[in-house]
Amino acid sequence: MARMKEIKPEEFDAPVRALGEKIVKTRGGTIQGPWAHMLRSPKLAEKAAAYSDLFRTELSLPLNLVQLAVIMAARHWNAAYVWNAQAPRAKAAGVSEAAIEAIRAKKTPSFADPAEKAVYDLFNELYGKQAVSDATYAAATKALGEKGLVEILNVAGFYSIVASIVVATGVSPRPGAPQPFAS
Amino acid sequence: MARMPLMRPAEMSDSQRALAEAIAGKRSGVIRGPWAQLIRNEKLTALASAYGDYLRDGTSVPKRLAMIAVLATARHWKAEYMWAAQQARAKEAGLPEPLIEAIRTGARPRFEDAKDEAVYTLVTELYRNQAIGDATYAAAEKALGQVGVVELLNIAGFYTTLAMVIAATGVPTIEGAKPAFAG
Repeated sequence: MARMKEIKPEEFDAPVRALGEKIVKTRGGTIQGPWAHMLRSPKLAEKAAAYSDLFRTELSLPLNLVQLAVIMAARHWNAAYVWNAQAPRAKAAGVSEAAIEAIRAKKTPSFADPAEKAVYDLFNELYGKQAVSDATYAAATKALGEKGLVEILNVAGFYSIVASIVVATGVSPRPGAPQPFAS
Repeated sequence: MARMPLMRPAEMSDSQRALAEAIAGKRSGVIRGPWAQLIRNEKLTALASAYGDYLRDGTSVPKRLAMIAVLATARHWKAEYMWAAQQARAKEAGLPEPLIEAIRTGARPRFEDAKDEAVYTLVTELYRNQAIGDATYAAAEKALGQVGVVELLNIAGFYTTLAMVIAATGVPTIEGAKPAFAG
C-alpha cells in the first residue's frame, strides 16, 4: 500500500522550500525521503536539523564511531533508505567494509579498533535488550568518555527518529538503488 | 555497578549552569534525569532542548496522544525515571488511569477512543517489529493527519533518545517513586 506521499521540492511554499534547501545542503542536496516528510512541519524540521547538524561539528567523537552508530540504527530499523545514504559515509569515515557487511547481514562483526567494538556492543545490547551490561557500559565509557557516550546515544536516538519515519511512512530506496535488507 | 553520576550544578561551568537553569525552569525546576547527563555537551543540550520543547508544546499532536507515545516508550525501555516523571503529565492530559496502568504492565489496553488505540498501536508495533502494518498506518494517519504522524514519530523517537540515555548511563528514578517495571 502506498503510504505517505513525499512532497516534491517545487510543491512547498517558497519559505519552506528555502528552509528545506538549507537543511539538505549537508544531507545529500535534494529535498527527499524523511526530510521531505519532516518539512510538513517546518518548525519541527528546523529544530531537528539544527540539533542534528551538531553531529558533524560539535561532538567529541571520531567520525567512524558516529557513523557506526548511524548504520546500526539504520540496520535495527530495517531502514534501507537510511542505510543506502549512510553506509558509504561509514566506509569513508573508516569503518571497515567487512564490518559494514556483517552489520548488514546481521552477523557479528570483528573490529580492529576496540572503540568500534565498544560502540557495536553498546547498541547491539540496547536494541536487543533495552539494557546495557556493566562490562559493556565500562568499555563504552573507557572508549568514549562520559561526554562521548552521551553524545553517541543522541546520534543513535536521532537516527532512530529518521529511520522510524522511513519505515512508518514507507520511504523506499530510490529507483535503481540497492535493497540492502531484501530477504 | 554505579554508572554515570548526574552532573551537579557545582560541577558545571557558568554557562552550563545557566543553560541547566533555563532547561530546569521549563521542566521541574531543577536539572535532573537524562538532562543532567546531556549537559556534558552544552551546545548539543541547548539544541536538544529547543527541539524537545517544540515536540512538547509546539506540534499539532494532542497532548493526550503524545503522552500515550511517551508512556509506551518509557515502558518499552523500562525507563523508571521517565515513567515517574511523565505519568503525572499523562494524567493531567486526561489519560484514564486504567489505560496508564495497562501501558505500565504491557497488557493490551481496552481503548475508549479510537485515536488512543491508533497511537498506541503505531508505537508499540514499531518498537516490536521495526515495521507497521497497512491498517496500523491508515489508522494513525486518520487519527493524527500526515503532519501529526511525522510529529508523533519525532516525539516517540525523542523520548527513545532520552530512554537510551537513562538505560545506558543508569539514571536513577525520582526519589521516592514506586518502581513501575520491577520484576
